[in-house]
Amino acid sequence: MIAVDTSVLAFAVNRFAPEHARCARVLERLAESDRPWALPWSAVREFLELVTHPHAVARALQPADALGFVDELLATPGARALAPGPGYAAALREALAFADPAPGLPPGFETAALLREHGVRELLSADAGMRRFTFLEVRDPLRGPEWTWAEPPARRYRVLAVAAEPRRPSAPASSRERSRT
Amino acid sequence: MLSHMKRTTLILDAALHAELRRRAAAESRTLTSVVERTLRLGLAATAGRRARVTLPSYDLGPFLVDPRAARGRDPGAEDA
Repeated sequence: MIAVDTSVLAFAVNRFAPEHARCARVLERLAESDRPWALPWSAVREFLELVTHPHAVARALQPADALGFVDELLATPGARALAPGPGYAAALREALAFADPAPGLPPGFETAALLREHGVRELLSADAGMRRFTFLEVRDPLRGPEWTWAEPPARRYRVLAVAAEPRRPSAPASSRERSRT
Repeated sequence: MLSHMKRTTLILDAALHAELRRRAAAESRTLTSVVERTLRLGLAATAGRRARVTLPSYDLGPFLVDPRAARGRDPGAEDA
């Protein structure tokens, strides 16, 4: 399954942007297909924040219009919204382990963790920063030939199992013994 | 005997109804079987056709924050 990132959504909705035509065509190809594709909720949230913010775009979109755009996508037969599930914490750890060790959380970590949890390996994104999560095949729809379904899918990998109950650190036997006395 | 069938009432355009009756007579079939076959053909054709999707778009003007690098940036902070 392939997922769509914030940047593609933002360019696709803004017909003023030079990148609009290519990104809109990508979304329309996905929307017209019965094949499953993914829309991570984190990317939806970032999209909504971006296109409705008056400092992010010259003529900010009304939230209802931005949500309407998302609704249109989610109503298409192949669309799958990705939300955090029980394995999210484990997936987040794994996603962060793939990124470069740097202080703080890397941008895009929420989307990377969602994709990791749901076993999605391919991401359509114009954000080169997502390449830091090396388990992802990031396809930039603005570079090279236009993206189509004909592109070979990325190698699959296992879907994370639901994380086991986190283990609590146990006290050393000697201290347990002492506490009983 | 016909427990797998469902009875329904259709309100059809008169010309369409006449055409269905004419076909049924020409093929020595019942009106029901002609309607059923026609519906099946219509449904199959709809399923095989790929619906054209046109997503809404808006003229938002230029992006003041590049969507390629928007993550981790607070658009409002730049004006502060």
